[in-house]
Amino acid sequence: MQMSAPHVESILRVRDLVKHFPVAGSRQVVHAVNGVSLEVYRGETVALVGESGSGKTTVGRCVAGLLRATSGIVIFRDVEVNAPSKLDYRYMRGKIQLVFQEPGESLDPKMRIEDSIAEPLRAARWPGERRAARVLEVTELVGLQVKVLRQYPWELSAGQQQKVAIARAIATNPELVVLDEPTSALDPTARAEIIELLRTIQEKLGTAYLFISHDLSTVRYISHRVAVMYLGMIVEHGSTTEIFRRPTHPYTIGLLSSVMLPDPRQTLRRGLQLKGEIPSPISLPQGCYLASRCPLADGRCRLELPPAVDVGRGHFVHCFKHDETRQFQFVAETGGALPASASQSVQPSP
Amino acid sequence: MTIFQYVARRLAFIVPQLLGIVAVSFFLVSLIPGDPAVLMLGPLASQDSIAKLHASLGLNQPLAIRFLHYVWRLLHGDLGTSWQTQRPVLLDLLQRAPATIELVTYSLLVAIAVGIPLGVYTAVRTQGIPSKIATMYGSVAGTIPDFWLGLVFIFIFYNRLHAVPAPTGRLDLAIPPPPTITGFYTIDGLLTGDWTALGSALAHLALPALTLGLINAGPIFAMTRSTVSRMLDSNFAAYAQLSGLPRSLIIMRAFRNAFPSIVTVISVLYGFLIGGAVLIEFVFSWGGAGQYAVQGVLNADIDPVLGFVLFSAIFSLVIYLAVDLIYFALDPRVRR
Repeated sequence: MQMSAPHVESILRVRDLVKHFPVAGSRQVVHAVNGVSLEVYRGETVALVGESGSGKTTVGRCVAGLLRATSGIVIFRDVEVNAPSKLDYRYMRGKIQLVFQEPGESLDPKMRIEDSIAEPLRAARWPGERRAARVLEVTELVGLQVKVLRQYPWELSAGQQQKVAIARAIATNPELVVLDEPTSALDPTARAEIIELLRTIQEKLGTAYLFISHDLSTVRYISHRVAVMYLGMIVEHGSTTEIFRRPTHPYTIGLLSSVMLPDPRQTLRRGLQLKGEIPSPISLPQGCYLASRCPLADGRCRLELPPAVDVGRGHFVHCFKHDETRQFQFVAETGGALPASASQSVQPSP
Repeated sequence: MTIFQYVARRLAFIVPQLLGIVAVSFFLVSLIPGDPAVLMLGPLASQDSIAKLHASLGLNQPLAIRFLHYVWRLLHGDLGTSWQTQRPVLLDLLQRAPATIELVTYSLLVAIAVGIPLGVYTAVRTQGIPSKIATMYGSVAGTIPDFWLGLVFIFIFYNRLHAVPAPTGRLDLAIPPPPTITGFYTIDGLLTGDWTALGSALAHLALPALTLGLINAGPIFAMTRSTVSRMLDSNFAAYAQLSGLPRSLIIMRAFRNAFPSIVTVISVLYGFLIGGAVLIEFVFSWGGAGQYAVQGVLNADIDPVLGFVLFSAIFSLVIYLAVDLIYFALDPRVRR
């Protein structure tokens, strides 16, 4: 089942995004993001996956406009929203929204739920009556009872809090929602519910998602395209089916080997184990960032940064050894099948 | 839970708390070296008369018995007698406590007026020279001895500039205190329309309150800065910023969420200052309760010391209760 985005209209373009953070008391910097380029089309879900420290959250925050990029550009609908010199929140009002990992911390503890949901509407200067009506509408849409509107965040479960955060994020009809690990702080039941909710919303409203996660089974279920990040760079990207059926970068293969996929039909032909730890983002290694951990690395890998190689079907990989990684790929006779629960295909409506 | 149940429960806890405080302070005070009988009778007294006085003061009895006696008297509202003033401790304290409370309250207002705005400012603007100066002040405020700063202020504002009256108590000698209603000269002056006394009282309060206020703004400043900046770094503030809400509103909300921590540090400071203002009381000859207690310690006059400990304990507990009531009103979480 191929889950491809039906629209080709690009709404977000990120080009060579670089973000450095100063190290306190030193002239060194943390290279959090090192030249990330990506594109999000209308109504699709792009997943950004990687270990913690890979820079995926930083990319999300730069896209949402919470962080100023060191260099590179973020263009949302032909307007540069994240030039290094300025951050204009007014332009983005309601057009790009964000859902945080910790639902409890993203809601002001002193505000009633209805005020939290109305916040982006207030910022976008919606008049009072329309605002109240919209709050009710989105509350219903995310499946919350109306009585929670009068409650405070701490009276709600984490799953309910995340629903509030989602209701708030979609209130202004945004074209793009950045979801920063929206389910990793939730228990499995709440997680499944939230993922289902996100798909339903996308189906109804055609909202595009930039879905940041380290949870590969969720990513596989919800996203149309996947970009794998390692040490602030995208090492491989392509359609979800491609990435999961034909992982080509050693890092992606290592990442997939490290998790149990909930699909018994899919077995590993041969595992690929990465050695050691992620290198320090303060002093980046020369050559391919994975060379020190990769069993295939040779002299060239340690000297040059591999460029993007098109391995077909819109699947790009940054690896000199991409021909040799085939032996590690999965046997996936059934064609990248999704878990049984996900067998219903979702096609975003125009 | 209604507010009455809440207060009743809190009050029920106050009694054992006070008993504990009295017990600990009684045994600690008994460790103070110096025999009151010797001090009272002078160096030339005979062993015989000292022994007699011991017996009449009950000092020859075991400590535990003396403690029970003390508690028994306490329950009857008798705080003992000071051998120095020859007056009941209760009367002495009632006379002197308003002086201390008045000084401490104005000092705290100065500390709040300095600490909170500086804290919010430095939390919002972490860079820049004003912020650096404020931060420097914050770290210095906690380290300067208050009596020293008081002396410096006296030198500058009294000796050099003649801007304030002499540091000799709460009023000019020539001005009679306003009729006593609360014992606080500024309030009594205001209530009775005694403007001369009010003016003199305020002029006398200015320097000691400024000294204590500037020193004790330190903790309020530090708490405000750290909690407000934590709230500004929080995800809900980030979200408000992303939505395009004005910065001033985001700062206000950060402050609203930081407020309970700030109130807590203020309340602790209030209780602390009752005893902590004693050096300033000495420097400005304030005649307050702290000064009274220190005189007691120096002369083995035990009852005033215990009386003062009890007074400041009750004061702190009342402040804490008041603060908890504020929380009760502000934060629905406490009500559960």
